[in-house]
Amino acid sequence: MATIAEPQKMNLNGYVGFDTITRQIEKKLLKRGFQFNVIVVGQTGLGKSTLINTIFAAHLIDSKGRTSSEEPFRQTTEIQTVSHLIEENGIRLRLNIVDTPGYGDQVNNENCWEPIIKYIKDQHSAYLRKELTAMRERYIQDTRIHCCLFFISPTGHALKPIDIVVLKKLSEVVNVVPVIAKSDSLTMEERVAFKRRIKSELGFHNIKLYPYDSDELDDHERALNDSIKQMIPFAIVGSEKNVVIDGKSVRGRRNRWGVINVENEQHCEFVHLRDFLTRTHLQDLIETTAQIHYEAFRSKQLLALKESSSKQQQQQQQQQQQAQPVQQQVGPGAPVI
Amino acid sequence: MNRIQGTMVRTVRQKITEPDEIKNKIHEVVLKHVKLADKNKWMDIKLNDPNLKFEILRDCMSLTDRNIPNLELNFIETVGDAVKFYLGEEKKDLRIGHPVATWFAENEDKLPPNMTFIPYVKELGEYALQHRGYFPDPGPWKIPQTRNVVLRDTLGIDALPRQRFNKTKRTPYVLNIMVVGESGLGKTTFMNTLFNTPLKEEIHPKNPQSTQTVEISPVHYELVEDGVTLNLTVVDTPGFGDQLNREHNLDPIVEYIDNQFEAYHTAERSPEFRRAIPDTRIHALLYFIPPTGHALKELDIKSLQVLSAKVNVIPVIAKADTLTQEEKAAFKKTILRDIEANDIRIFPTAYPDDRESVEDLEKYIPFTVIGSDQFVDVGGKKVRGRSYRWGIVEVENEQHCDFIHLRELLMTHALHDLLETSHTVHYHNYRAQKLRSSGRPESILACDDSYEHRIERSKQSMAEEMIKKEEEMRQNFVMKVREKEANLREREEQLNQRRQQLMAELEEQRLALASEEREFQELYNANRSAR
Repeated sequence: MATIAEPQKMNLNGYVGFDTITRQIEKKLLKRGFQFNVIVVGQTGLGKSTLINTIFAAHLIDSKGRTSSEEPFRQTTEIQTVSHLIEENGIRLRLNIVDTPGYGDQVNNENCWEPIIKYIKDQHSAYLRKELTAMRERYIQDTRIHCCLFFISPTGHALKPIDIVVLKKLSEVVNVVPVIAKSDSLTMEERVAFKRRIKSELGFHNIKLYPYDSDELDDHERALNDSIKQMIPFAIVGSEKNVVIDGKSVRGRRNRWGVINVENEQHCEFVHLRDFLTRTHLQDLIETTAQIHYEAFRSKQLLALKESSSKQQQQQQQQQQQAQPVQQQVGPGAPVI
Repeated sequence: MNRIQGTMVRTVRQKITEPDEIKNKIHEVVLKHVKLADKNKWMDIKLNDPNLKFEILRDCMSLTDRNIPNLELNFIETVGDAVKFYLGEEKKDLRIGHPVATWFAENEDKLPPNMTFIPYVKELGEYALQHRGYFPDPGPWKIPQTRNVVLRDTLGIDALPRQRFNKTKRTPYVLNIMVVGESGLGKTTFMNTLFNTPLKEEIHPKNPQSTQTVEISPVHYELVEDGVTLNLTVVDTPGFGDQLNREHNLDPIVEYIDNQFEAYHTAERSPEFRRAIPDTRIHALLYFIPPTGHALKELDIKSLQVLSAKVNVIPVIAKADTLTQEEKAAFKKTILRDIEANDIRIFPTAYPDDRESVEDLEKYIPFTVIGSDQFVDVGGKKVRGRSYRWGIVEVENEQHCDFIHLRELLMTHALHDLLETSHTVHYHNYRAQKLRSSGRPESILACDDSYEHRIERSKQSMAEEMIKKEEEMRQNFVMKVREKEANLREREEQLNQRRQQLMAELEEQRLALASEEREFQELYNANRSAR
């Protein structure tokens, strides 16, 4: 085999122009647009739909809570997908939001996570199938889930057993970002203590959350990741309604004792979450899904495929061997079927 | 009236209807029988002596040709009453137009024959009607009509409530409260806030993963305020709603409640405890609802249904500082609609004994509460509250939450109602269920044999008779069949014999014929050969 020689570093004498490749890529990407898929997981009434609408500053999904007594109870976790195309400064983002109404709401919640895990794996397997076909499309539409927002109820004590189990299972197949919902019911001390407890529990149960450690990160990325890790889980407040503070109209909640400004860093960590999701780590989330989770799924599937195909070959050989002596027994005049 | 051989013949008189005439006639009658001192006070003569009463009234009746029914007879105590009766109109039959009476008339053929309808007339007082529907006998069961008496001088009975109060003040009250709700809803903090004392300290926050089942942990306290002692027991239920499978979360709670009822029941029956039965029954159950803003979850609805049938349930919206004013109002409405749709009876709306004082508090149900162990500085005063970066929430501020209304309801108005309702409604329900399931009849008094039971018994006896008769008939039938069989067998025998006889005869005849034939042949042959 030919070995690739060490590249020699050359100095350029004049301007060549291949540094415009970044702009060419940008233009190409602008035309194609981006695709981002999020799944929200959490019990009824924690404000999942409101938070999504707040992050993307538009009414994207409706709350699927039970609002009247005639509505029946959902007997299992359902998966409902909504797709939107949002555009900002010429950049088009196709956004898929997957809601999971019915999660954690029944009296018996055993196996309430199975539909979710199945859905995530189905997206991976659909992508894999498209990749494996002989006639591959030019650009495979990516429906794999890039990010899972997991909502924790603001009890102030610790994580519930259902949370631990589901977090473990989810963190193996998708990037999980835990979030403390309705955090306006926690004072600062309570919030700090709650977060500390949650982090210690996550460490105890060995649950790996996004962002992951990697050797390829350079220093300032690592610093950024560390600051994110400090803040996880994000304590947020969501609101679609506007309130007037100091003459400005901002999104917030008004109570008899004060006004909560969603975009105020002192009040809640919504700004951090939004920046994390859209401004800094959007591309990284997509990449991690493709490189880590999808690859793990793919290798498992292909290994299993190879094993099953080798088993099938063995079986076929055995059948052929059995079939041959039978053929000889049948007389020459009789037709061999 | 003449007596002709034991029968009474009444001479028919013209009916006297004019009031003056009636009065005069009665006057005459009275004079005939009674010697009067004062002629003008003839109406006041008391008819206590039964003989006198009989004489006078009999004559009146015969004179006016109008019988006084038994009902009235009892009420006539003076002559004046009798006059009043006669002057009054014939009592109109209340049954005309009475809906129940018309129903009785329509369904007469379906009803048993001894059932009649007597409309309730308030002025006559209450009669304990004998249950077979006979005309009420105003015998010793009559409850006398109470008459208002105006006191002319001070008596002093207005001190009676105070005497009672002073006596009861010395006995300690018992209150047992149970709190049910998912962990992290602020139950312990709320109880501390309600009784204004640190009842339970959260040394370290509970770990919901460690509880596999619901524990029941009752803690006893003794609180003293203004000379009144309150023996408070708070039963906490850690672990409720925390596991993955919550189907059996209610079982320990229901078991505990039933055990307390059972203990009270046995204590009631034992002689030494009658005076001061130790009461550990749950009087109030506070159910904490998480502030989701949507309708109630399945677990909540199921739990509320089961629990509200056993104890007084007060639903409470926990951690209400998460909700804005509009969200609170909408949430309350949704919850109330859910409660109504699922037939959940909550205290105090479902137990309307003392409505007037409680009505203005009822509009806040379900109560939104905020609990706090800490004190914050508001306008120079230290109050219970929670301090956030965007404001301070005060627990005792009516604008912020309904805590003071709930405390008012529980402590000031409904404390006694809670105790009473849990005894008269819930404990009696439990007792009735228990006794009915053990097969005890509804009433152990013989005269209370209800109509349905008699019908049942007669049905049973009829069924038995039927069975007996069937048996008899079957026996008869079997006997007859056997007889007939015997007969037929005999005849068969006889016929067989006959046949045999006849066959034998036939045989004989044949033989005879055969022998004669032979003889003839011989003779013939002999004749032929002789020629």
